[in-house]
Amino acid sequence: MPRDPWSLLPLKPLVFEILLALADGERHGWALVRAVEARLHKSVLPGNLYRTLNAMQAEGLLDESAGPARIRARQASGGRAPRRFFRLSAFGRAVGHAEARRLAGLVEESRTKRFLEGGTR
Amino acid sequence: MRDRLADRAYRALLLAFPPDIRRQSGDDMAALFRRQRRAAAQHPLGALRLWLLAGHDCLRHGLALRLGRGAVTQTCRRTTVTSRPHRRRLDFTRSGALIELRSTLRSLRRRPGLTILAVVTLALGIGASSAMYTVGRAVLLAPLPFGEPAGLVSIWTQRGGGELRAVAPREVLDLRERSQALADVAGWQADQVVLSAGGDAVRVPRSRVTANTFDVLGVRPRLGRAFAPAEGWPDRARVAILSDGLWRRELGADPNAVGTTISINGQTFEVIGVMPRGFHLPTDFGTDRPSQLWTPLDLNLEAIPRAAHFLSAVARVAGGASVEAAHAELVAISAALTAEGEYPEGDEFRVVSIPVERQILGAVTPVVLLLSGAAACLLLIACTNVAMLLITRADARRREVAVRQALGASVSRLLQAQLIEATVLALAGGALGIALAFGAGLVLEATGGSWVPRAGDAAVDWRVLAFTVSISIAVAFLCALPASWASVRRGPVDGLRSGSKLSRPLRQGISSQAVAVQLALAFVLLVGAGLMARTLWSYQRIDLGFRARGALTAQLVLPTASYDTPDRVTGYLRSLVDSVRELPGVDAAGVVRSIPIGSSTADWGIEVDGYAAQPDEPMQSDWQVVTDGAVEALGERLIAGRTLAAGDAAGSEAVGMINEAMARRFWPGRSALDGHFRMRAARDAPWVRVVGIIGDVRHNDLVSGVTPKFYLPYSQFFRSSGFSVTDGTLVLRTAGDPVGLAPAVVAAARRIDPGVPLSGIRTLEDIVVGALSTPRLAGAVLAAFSAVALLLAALGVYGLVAGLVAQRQQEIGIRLAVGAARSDVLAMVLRRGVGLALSGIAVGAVLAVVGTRALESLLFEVTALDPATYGAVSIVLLSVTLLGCGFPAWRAARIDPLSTLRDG
Repeated sequence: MPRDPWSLLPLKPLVFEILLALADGERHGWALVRAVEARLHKSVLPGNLYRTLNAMQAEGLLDESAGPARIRARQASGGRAPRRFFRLSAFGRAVGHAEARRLAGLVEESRTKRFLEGGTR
Repeated sequence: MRDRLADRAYRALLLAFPPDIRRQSGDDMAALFRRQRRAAAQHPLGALRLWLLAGHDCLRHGLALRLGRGAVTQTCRRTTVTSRPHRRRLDFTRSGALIELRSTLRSLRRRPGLTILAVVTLALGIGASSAMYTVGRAVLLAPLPFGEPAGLVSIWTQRGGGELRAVAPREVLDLRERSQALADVAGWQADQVVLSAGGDAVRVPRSRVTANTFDVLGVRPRLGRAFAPAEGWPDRARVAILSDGLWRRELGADPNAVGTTISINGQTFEVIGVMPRGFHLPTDFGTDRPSQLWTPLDLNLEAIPRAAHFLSAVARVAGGASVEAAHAELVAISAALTAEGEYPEGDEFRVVSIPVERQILGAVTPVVLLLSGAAACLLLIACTNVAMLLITRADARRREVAVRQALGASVSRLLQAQLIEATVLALAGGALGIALAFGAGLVLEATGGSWVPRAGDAAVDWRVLAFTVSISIAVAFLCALPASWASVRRGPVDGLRSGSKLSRPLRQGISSQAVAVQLALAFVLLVGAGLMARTLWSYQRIDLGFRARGALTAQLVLPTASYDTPDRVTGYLRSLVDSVRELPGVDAAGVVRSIPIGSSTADWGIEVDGYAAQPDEPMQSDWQVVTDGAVEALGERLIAGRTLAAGDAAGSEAVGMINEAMARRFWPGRSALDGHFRMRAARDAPWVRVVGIIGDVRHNDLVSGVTPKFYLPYSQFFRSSGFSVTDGTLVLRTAGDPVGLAPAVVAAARRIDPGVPLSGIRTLEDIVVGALSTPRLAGAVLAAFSAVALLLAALGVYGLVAGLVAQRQQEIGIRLAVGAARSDVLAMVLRRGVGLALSGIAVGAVLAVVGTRALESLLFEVTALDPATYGAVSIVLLSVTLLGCGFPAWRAARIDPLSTLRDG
């Protein structure tokens, strides 16, 4: 039975950020951290990142991939290269879609309640 | 290198994760962290912050994965707010503690100021304790590097109840032959050699040892073998054993070093063994240059006359005999030797044995125990401080605790929360403390560890870590108990009803007592530091009677085989002194038999012309033998007459100099110049005319009183005493840097006779400073400890009084509103501080009277109950207390009555 993407909502911010970062294609850990940190404005440390990635993989949100051909070549020649690459699964895309819809709903709600007008930061 | 170390450290943190995760992602995580480290390194504190965060990151996520917590879905989905209290109330399992830990970490992070203060405070206390434990273990607890050290005694000779002196080779043979209680006796002589093992030549302290030395000490080389019985004499084999350090430094820790050759003083020696790490000869503990190279003593011991005392000796007590029995037997053997006519009756010759353990550790044991006590004081002060901080926190969380209690949390659960908080703080403090202890270790290593025997061996190892962890956990209990007791004591209903504060009297009662205890302990440490400071000050003011600055000394021993007549000895000294004087920069030079402070002198019976002694009056005087120029080189003062000159030769009139003490004692009220005295020797000694009077000199140590002393020239000493002095110390004075002259002096001596090596080359200043090392060490450590203690006590006072003012803000506001003057408020708060200080001083004085007993043996010209020190310390403590409550008092006086009443 296909799982309901809504069962995982609301997502933790880090999980959603990772889904967003992977929407463009496969990434390794460092690239993910750079993308996430740029938006979250706080550092993401390896322990947190890989625990989250493992959990997301177990939930079926993402798949592990072999990485681009040039990286594989570097690995084969014994060079320093990241081992694990990740890409979005179909279920992951569905969950991201669902979370985005949920957030969009919140934004819509905020607009009707005039939360988005005026105000200062 | 640093990168590799950091990588390893991070890999160690990753051990928190389950192995499968590490296998799968460990490399990537490490690589990711490496990049983050590089990015963070641009900011000075960035790296530190990153490491702290990484430690937390790994522990939190790694342990969560290990404990199977945080089911996968939970990790992805944001937890809803309502699910937490529910789980927390029911969960009493192991992961319950984990939740508590997380909430503790979170709440500690929310108040970084308080957390840092608590951690640093604990780190100071724990660090001091760990450092003292490290040193104490290395010095006192670690076994001496000998087999069965309890069965080893060191052997000395003594004449007329004077100082202990080295042993003559002949005496070693006597003891081997005659003693039943001693299984074997070994001896050695230390010198310095030039060693070359392929690389540059280096000066190395060496000991020439009898072949049985390592067997007597019960130590085997870690590589190769010890000396064979005949290798010393008659074989004169060119073989050498190296210390572990020398083997590593000069031979690159080559495992095949045995069998290779090295050059010692230009001669080729075969390396036959390497001693284990930490091995020293019993005389090499507490010296800054222990011997690192051992060669056989290639002398025919039987051919050396009894008068030549130059060996250090140690003996192994035979199985079945006791150390006491051995001592008694040695006394009997000495008596027998005297009875056989080997020594004159008047010498009162004795062979003395001292257990090696006592000789090495006897003097430092009280110092190390004392400093450990001081460290314990500091730890206690730190604990009270943190306990008070925790009470304040418990106070602030009173309502939360009451709610949790009302919801059914058991008392044990609440205690657990307190304990976890204290443990987290204490372990963090312990980690920082270890770093401090490690730093202290580096300082000790840099100072060469010559202050205290074996202190240089102190190292932070797993035992120190274990000690620190246990201390930290004990500290956690100590800190958590008052707060737990205070917060759990009252039921939930009470807690909710009476608002968010603990009952006031209880809290203040605990805190005031804690602060008073802190002040008392700080008082004790301050008194100790004050007494040591006064002692050191008194030492500095001692008039030594000579000028230590600008003088270089070098020991020399003339081989009695080739210097068998007094004339030969005098001739050698003459040429040595003359050639040293010709060196550029040398202002004065001479040879003395015994260097003040650096070596000791004993007394000799004398007769004084025209002095009628009482029947029981001891007619004794210390004796010194000098060449011309020696008094000038030492910088001793000539009071009257002249110093000895080159013209006072063996055949001319017998002349000598005396010190002021001798002049006062034997020529009271008249001039001693041209008076006469003579040594009571076995045969008729000539009368010696006094040609000069020298200012009193502290000789055997810094503190003993000055006793009468006479100076005779080397050239005439044989005529007076009947024996020839063949050893001495070359002293030279220069306006420049004395150390810079050392190579030229050694070369000059070698030109005269390469067979007479100069050894133990040190400045006179070093010798004097070395005599002060123990009080200096104790003083420095006590000063550092008491400064920290004072700071912590001031913080304690500040915390207490500030809390008090905050609590009574409303009351103070009302007082001001109804007309109290601001100065009254100020006085009220300060009175509180004075009260605290006075009770601290009272308790501290009692503790100090008991505690400083241990210090007594180190004090000089000040008693342990010195009123001035106690008074000064009281004033310091009072001032610091007032300083601590000054700011809160000022704030109290500035409370605005209107706004307080309005807010209240």
